[in-house]
Amino acid sequence: MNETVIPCAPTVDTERVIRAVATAASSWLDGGWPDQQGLTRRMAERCGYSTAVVTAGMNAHLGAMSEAELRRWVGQGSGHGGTGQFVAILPATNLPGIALIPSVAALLAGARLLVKTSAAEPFFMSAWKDCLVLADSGLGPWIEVTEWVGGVDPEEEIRLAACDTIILLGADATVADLQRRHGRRVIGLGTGISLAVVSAAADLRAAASRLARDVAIWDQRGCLSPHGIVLVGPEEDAQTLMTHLVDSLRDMERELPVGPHSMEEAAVLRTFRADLAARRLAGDTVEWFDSGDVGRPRRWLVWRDGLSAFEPSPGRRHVRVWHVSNPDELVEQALPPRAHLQSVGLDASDPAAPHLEAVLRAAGVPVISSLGSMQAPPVDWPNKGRHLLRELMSGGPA
Amino acid sequence: MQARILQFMDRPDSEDFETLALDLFRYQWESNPTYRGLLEAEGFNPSTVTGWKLIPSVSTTTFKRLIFTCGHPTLVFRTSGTSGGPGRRGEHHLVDAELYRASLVRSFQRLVLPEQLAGGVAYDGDARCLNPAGMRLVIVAPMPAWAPDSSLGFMMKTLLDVLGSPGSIEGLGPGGLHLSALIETFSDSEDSGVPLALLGTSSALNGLMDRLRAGGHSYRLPDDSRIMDTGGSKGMHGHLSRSEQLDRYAATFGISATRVVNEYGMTEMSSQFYDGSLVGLDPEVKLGPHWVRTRIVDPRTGVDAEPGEPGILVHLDLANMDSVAAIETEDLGVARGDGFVLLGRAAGSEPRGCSLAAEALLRGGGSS
Repeated sequence: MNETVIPCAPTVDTERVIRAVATAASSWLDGGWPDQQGLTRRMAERCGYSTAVVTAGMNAHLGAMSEAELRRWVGQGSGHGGTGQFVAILPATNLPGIALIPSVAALLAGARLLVKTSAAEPFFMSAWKDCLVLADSGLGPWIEVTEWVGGVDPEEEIRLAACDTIILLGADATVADLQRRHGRRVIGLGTGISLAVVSAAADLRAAASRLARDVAIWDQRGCLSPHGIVLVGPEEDAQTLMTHLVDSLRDMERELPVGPHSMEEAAVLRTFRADLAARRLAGDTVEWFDSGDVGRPRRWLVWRDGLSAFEPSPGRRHVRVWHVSNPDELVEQALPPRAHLQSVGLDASDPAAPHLEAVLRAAGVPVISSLGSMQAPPVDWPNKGRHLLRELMSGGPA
Repeated sequence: MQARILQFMDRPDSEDFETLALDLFRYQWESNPTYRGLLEAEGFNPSTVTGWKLIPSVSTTTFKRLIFTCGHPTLVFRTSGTSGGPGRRGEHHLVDAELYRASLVRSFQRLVLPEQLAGGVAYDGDARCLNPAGMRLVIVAPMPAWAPDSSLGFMMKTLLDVLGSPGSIEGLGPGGLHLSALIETFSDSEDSGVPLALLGTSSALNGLMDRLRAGGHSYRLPDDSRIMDTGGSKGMHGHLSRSEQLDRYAATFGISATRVVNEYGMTEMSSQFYDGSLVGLDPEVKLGPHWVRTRIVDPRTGVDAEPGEPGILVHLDLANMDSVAAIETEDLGVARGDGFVLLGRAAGSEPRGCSLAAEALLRGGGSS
């Protein structure tokens, strides 16, 4: 493990952080990071994405990091509670860049930062640190990026015991385990579910096209990745939407190819497909279209059934289309349990979107986003309903 | 068909596996309307089945939706429902339990009581052992009297009836462990030198060991004693690793790891697999009887994995005459020796970003 001696400087200037973050983000968007192609390829290979998906996903992450946006974000907080704090971030997933927003929040709050990278994705945060330091060498001592074997290495307890706040992004069981060991100092950002909603009055072809992009970026592995789309309106429109989505996913495969499936993923998808066939034979109204691959992994599948309740997708571009008759049914039947609900995407072309947004907000949906940019939330989006920067500026977990 | 399969169980040279498997497929195609309907819906052409590996398999998950039977069922086993979410339990329907009994007794004798087969074993026409080489069986698992749809319970009761010698006991009831009787049996075995076979689920055996140790009880059971555990073999044993589990057995019963056999079975099959501990083979390798063959299939391609590469386990069990012979599991494994090494369940075995996995949602997980 690399040891970095971190000096006890009073604080880091927020403006310096804003400028450095915006410069590093802009540099990525311009393709200016050292060995950016190599980094992209390594992330893609390790995590099982295509390089095009990693590029699009990282563009979505980093595109939100402009100076204006960062200043707006800082303006929402108050206090200097983060000053001198020591914040650890543990991204325990295979989603590149997932620790980006928490790391920026910690720096903006004036905290020193320890990032323990994930074995599933060990590359991005090291490169991010290097680029921040390239933009402002004075930030170097404030950030340590290291690795240990999570939950096993005795070093973990020692390092985490020294931290004021620990931010964990990962599976819910991992979050619960860390909270058991470190109590209220832990901000747990566990798993979540997102979905899309569109009314029959929307341009269904355009909505399907935008949804396909949200599905393709991170191959449905993110908590902002839609599991499926609910059509509010007549059932026949759901059929139309399904047809458009099939076309869109087929087209999207050219721009953002799906990544190679692991053995485990492929097994889960195979079981899922077998279950669809069994449901159909059992008399359920279920139909599906898929990429038609024989002898190689299926690249996408769209299915539709007659149920109004939410059903999760197995991921990897397996998208459900279902319908409800009206917004009341949407809220009462089609949403997943609120504890898991992360975001709902609405379509810009949908004249009913304002009403749907009001209904969904009243139902407690924490994040409403636009189809086509569900994976590109603003820097201040409330992951699991938490306002990280505000909490850190106030002195720690709320 | 049943007579041929029974004969093949006792005399592997009576005919070849391939012929029997293909005839069984044709029988199930004709007699099992659900199986046939499922295949026809996929556009399957039965004339393409020219070898046992081409017999189309049915996923275990399908048994949660559909009833597969080649006649009027007289016995139904149900899964515990832990893997498919609440309210969805797989069902295995049997028209006649004779093949099931025959299969389980023969496999158990071969791999759990192997030394007692040395003198040879004979069976009557109903698969009943004519010279049962029994042992005192101590069972800590569900039993049919209170868990009538448990295939494990049926198996345990059959073993008790066919192979249990005097002093055998049912150590678990609907109200919990029969602790006094268990303590008495262990003490008697230790004192008398009469060995026993302790059979149960890993979780029930752990519960038993907790109670025994809390009461200050531990034993050095006779050398020929053995343990057969089941469940919890798919990855972790609850909170215990396999080696920790074996250490607990040794500390509580004085039974060493070489005398512990892990069973791997599933409700949808009529035959079981055991590791080779008691026959001097690699304890990591699961072995099946000669009337079962296992393919390791790459789920990405649907064809057999390269030798030495992992894949999902697809079993062809001739004893599954009444339902579907070819069963595709949700378990990953890799071929080794005459069997396979179980690698665990596919679902939930690797990180999946921050999107909540379907299985976690179905189980009500993910509370943060």
